Amino acid sequence: MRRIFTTGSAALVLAFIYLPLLTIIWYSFSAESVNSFPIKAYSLEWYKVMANDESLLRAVGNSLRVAFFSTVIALFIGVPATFALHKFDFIGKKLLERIVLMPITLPGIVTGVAMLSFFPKIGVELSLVAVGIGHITFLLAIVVTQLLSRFKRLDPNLEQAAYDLGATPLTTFFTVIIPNIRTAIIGAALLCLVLSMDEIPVTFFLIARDNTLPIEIYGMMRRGITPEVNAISTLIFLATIVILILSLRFSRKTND
Amino acid sequence: MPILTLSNIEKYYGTSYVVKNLNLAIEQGEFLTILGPSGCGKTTTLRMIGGFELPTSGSITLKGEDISGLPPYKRHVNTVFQNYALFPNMNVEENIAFGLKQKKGSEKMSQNRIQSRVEDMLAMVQMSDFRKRKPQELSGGQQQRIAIARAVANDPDILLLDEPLGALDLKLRKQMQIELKSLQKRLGKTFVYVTHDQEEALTMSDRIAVMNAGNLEQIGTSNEMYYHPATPFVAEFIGESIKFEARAKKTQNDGSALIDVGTMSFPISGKTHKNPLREGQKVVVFLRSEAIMLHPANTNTDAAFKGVIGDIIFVGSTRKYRVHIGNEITLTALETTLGAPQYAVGDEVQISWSADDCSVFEL
Ligand SMILES: Nc1ncnc2c1ncn2[C@@H]1O[C@H](COP(=O)(O)OP(=O)(O)O)[C@@H](O)[C@H]1O
Ligand SMILES: [Mg+2]
Repeated sequence: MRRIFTTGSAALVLAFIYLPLLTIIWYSFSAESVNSFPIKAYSLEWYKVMANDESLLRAVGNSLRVAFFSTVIALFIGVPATFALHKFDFIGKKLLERIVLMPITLPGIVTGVAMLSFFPKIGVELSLVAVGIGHITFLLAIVVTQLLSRFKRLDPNLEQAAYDLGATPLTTFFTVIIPNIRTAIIGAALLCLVLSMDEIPVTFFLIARDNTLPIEIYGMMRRGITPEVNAISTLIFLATIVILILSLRFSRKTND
Repeated sequence: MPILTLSNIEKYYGTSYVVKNLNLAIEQGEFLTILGPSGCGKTTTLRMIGGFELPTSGSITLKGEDISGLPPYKRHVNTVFQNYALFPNMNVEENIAFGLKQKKGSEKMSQNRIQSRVEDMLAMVQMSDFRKRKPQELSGGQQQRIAIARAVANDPDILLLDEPLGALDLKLRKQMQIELKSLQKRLGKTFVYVTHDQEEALTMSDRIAVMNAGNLEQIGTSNEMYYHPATPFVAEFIGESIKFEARAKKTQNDGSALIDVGTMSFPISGKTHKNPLREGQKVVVFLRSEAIMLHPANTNTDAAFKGVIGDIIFVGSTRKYRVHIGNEITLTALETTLGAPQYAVGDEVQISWSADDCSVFEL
């Protein structure tokens, strides 16, 4: 009896989360131009429409560019910063950790509004560049959380052994530290890519003419949920799942 | 001139000291072991030599040059870490070559020279067949050899080893002790070795420095440590002794005296203590298990004590008897299993030891 109850409630929760998604995927193969049930004919029609939608493709390109550059920059700043945060004890270290992590918990809308008013003052025009900078702030937080736990599991003797053998701190960082947390870095990078591709609130405030993918989709939705949106959503969903699984597998690896 | 000198080294963490007023001179080519119980400051001392910790005060000189403030990568010493700390991202060869690749300026080594040095090191530790393996693919003992090869490759002035055999099983440990010692002889290198295992220290060392709670208790050869402990701590820590308090009587000019334990007494010679004893002085006496001789109750000896066998522990080549003398003292006697008469629990025995064979300290 209890078994049935727990299994049943688990199924309900899963259904609650995934049923809408499955519906979308299913509808994406419909041949009709409105979402109606039951589906009378199946086709790849809407995938064709999507593939020919120039403004949608441009948005995909924009999103990929923003995601790529903000991830790379977040890693370039985040990896050494996390190492320093891990290694050195200084006054206010805990406070700094909290501050860096804040963009994760802070509602995106607050970050967005704040940047919207701040960026023009320092000469950054609203654009994809501004969006990228906005993304970097919360991606940094992601990089720090992901890597801090990895650094804590790294044998501190490895670093000391490198010094012992005559390597300077810089050489040690690049030849011993980085290679040994490589998979965690890849995992964090994949997660960053997904989160950036998916981001709406901050992006919404900082965007100018060039749309990112979620914003473009949001725009399309105002014309009603077309089956084209179903198709693009399905592809995004699949890509996200793949990347998240990869990311998880990389960050779980301890022995890289 | 000593190759390494520690002068007045102190190390504090906050207000508590870990190493106190340490003075140590290590000679070129010697195998020096720092021995002491866990937490006495051995690792900290080694880390200060390696440059991983800076002393709170005092100075360290290597070959006459003050290195107290130098970072580890500028000190010509190398360390074998207890957990080996081999780089998991590099194979055996790359691990050994790592230090060689760091050499700069006039010391910079060509690819060919690095390769041949790596070959030599692999041969030295008999690991040539494993050159392409990752450390994770080696057993503990094999990792150990690579860690040693990697540390020796840089031809350091001093090799530091922090309980390097601690993780190995007993048999492998014994074998590595002998290998390490013969390696040290062959290379003529100065080894500073840390262990809490007195047997290991006695086996391998040219000299032993015994530390206790941050203080250097005594430094000397295995023989000196064993037969002439300078402090009660050393007497108790090295070897297996029983300890009891007593009083000195009938003290003579040659240092000999009579030691009174309750209702019994026994003679000691002048060799058993450093400072002359006063008449009636309270003392603490350490008596080693193997110095104690047991005789059957009916033999005619001038043994001072009679006792009863309490416990028998069989340890292979020897037998350990726990012998009660009255209610006051319980001794542990080590007897060889071959030849010597064997006793059973409850047997009465006579107990004797030579007047030279104990250590006496004033209380
Ligand atoms: N970074 C540190 N901060 C505070 N105390 C320390 C630190 N490192 C070591 N200690 C203390 O110093 C003492 C000696 O440590 P250690 O040198 O590792 O001893 P050993 O190697 O002889 O076991 C221990 O009591 C240990 O707790
Ligand atoms: Mg230690």
